[in-house]
Amino acid sequence: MGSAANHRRTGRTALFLTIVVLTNSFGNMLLAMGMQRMPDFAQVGLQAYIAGLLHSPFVLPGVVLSATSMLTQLSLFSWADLSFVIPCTASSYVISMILAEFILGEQVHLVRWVGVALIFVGVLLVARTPVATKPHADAHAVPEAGA
Amino acid sequence: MTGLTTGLTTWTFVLITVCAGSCGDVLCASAMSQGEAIDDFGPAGILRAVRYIVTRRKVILGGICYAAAFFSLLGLLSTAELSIAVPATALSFVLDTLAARFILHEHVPRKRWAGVACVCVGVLLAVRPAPLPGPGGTTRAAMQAHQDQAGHNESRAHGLDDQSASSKILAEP
Repeated sequence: MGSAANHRRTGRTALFLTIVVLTNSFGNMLLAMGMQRMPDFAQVGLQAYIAGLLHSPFVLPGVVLSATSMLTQLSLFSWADLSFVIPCTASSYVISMILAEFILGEQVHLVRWVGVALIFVGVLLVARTPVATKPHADAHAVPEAGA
Repeated sequence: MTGLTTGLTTWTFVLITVCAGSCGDVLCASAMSQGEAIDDFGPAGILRAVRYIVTRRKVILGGICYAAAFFSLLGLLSTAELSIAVPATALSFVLDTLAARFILHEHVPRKRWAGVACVCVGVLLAVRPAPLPGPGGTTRAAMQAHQDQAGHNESRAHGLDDQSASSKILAEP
């Protein structure tokens, strides 16, 4: 593996983490908006509830975004450490908090903003460690032909 | 719906979401790191990656864990504010890092531990369930408490109606 391949891997890790974080945050927000608009399960019964879920303009797009987030994260796992990927995805809480404050109109308190700032610092620390710390299967494979 | 019942339901959902999510992460990371790194994002490469993913037993098991975590999260989102419920699931970061170190045998550098510690402290602050009332404004939690008190002797269904109505109003952009 040349340094060019490593460099490309780093850029791709950043790109994929960004996709995971954004799709996860917006997916969560859509799901929350959809669930808040759902009728009480005990009152309407299973069929009407499922129909309600399918007809909600928020729930299905939320599910699609969450699925995208999951698949992107799976690809990341194929070359990066679990202990690298997972803390980095914590930045989605920063975005969730901003969405909660400005789009859902929930009141986010100062203490929580301090928490969010700490999460941000934590993510920066983790992001400065190597993407992978143990040899992955492809370390022994022939270097791929340059595309 | 008393505050206590709501709290217990919320934290049960948090526990299920966190544990199932971590199991899913470990199973998926284990399966994906055993194969070659996904490097080709052309149609053929994506097809190969998808074929790899859907034929791994660990990924399927992980997917079942994720599904459990997902439905638990849906339950969580229907019981609590987004700004409390979603950060609460971040407890999984501790569990995930410990699992990465002791089950997947990753060499977690000191700087990464420090980062995870920061994330955890940040989460502990971010999930504080009872925000102090802000200057000159009633917080949503305070409004909710008032509502719970007012509807204490009324039917449960009526209380839920009130809650969803207030959620709708507050959720409107």
